[in-house]
Amino acid sequence: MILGGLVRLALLRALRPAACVIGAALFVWALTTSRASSIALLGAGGELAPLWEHGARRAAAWTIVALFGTGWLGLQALLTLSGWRQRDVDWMAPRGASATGLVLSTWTGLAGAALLVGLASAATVELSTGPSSASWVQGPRALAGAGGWVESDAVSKERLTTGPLPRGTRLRLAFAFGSGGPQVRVRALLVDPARGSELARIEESAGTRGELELVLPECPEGAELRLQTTDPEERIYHDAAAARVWLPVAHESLASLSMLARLVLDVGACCALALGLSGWFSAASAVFTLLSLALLALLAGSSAGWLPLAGLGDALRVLQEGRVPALPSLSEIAAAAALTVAGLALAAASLLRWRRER
Amino acid sequence: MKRTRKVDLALALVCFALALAITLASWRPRSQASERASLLERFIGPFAGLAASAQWVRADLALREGRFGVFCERAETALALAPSDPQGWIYYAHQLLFERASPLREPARELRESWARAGIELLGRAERECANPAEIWIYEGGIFAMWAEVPDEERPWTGTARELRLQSLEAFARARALGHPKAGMFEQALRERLDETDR
Repeated sequence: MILGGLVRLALLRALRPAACVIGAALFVWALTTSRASSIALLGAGGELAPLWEHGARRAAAWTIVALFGTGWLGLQALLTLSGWRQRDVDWMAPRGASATGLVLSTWTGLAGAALLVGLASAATVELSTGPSSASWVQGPRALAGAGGWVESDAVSKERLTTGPLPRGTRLRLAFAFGSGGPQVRVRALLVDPARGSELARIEESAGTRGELELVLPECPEGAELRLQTTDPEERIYHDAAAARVWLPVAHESLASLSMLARLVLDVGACCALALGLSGWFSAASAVFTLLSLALLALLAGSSAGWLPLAGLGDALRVLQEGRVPALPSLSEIAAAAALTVAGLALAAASLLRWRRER
Repeated sequence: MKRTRKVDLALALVCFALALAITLASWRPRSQASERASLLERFIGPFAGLAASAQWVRADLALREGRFGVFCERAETALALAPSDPQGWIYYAHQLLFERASPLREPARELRESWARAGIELLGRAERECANPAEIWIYEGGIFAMWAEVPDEERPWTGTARELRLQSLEAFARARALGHPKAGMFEQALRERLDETDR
């Protein structure tokens, strides 16, 4: 009974009217004032411009939801244990519920609040961005190798490791450290090794660091990518580890579902950690520690992509292009689950210590 | 309990009064810069510059990763946060006018002209929104003067070399009228170049 009540209490405290009104005002402001810049649309080209239009709104709205939602719910989690000590000890102590049950109930309430906020945000974003058109979802890594230098006299060859790909898939290649000119032109060919026929081709400038994207027809397994520069004096490094395939999807609105999954995962880990930290540190130290950890994760980016919040920046960038970010990977889910368990265990241990001391 | 609340309330009132006093003491008549501050800049106040700097760092990272569209979106946000600094506008316009409109990057003349037009329109916005439009006029004058020297077939702008030099002169004259210290010197040099080519 007390545990069910705690779930409801955490949910209600997290979604208190003042916070909801302020959050909703910020959300609506982001949704209504965000527009893709005309220059970004020019760069995207006629075919992709509508996706960028929708992507700008989606990215602005989800930035507000992700940052303010995680921040607010994390703060609620930080204040929970100290609140119990100050306010709720008289009615909680005689009921004798287990420490794990208490923290788990509160965490469930907070995660439920994140789910409700995420669902409401996803529905509002998708209703306001208008009809959903076809887009691309971030697929797996395209090439197994580390990459290498691309020059004009030696064709660099790599095999796609993705298996057969449907028509309309896009292969995005990344290049860096270009030399020999301010604009290094790269020719990329995708060849069917069995027939020796050309599947796709692009020849464009990648600057000294940039990306090229090939639009693929139906692509058999093990297709070969051939790269070379067009000018004998130019060379550029092909970063094969960053090459990704983008698989076609019927609805760009799937982006909001992907963000919802990410939000629940990030908020869940963040709240559990906040509960754990607030059980052992003073309020100020716990806030400072949690903020520092969140900032580290946000700034770590792809170098520690398995951490909760680390993938948020990349996901928002994908969203901005009107494409669908990949769902959280298994390593991200495992890391979030491990952090959640650790945070809840810390919080439960602090409650046990507190009971012993009383 | 009640006594503690009264003390808290009194402390809060004292802090509020102190903040109000500091704000009033530091109030100055509105300068041109503050008049041109964006709504977002006024809303965020002293943190706007800091937030804009952070956004410029993110924009630059996107540019280095070759994600030009993302760079544009971040640069627009940075300019919305702090539109008064002309250097931000110039940096953004530079990417369009030199990087994107370059024949090495974009062989199709029509597309290069689109980028050049976008760059000049951006400078037009900068003239209206930034705190020191003379800097923008100087930069724009320099662009037209540079294009005048480019062969017709490579130039991403319509108009003859003479027309471009006249446009450049007009831009330098506007900068001089706004008190830019080097505008007169540029204007003089360009006038000599114009006379030389006319002869």
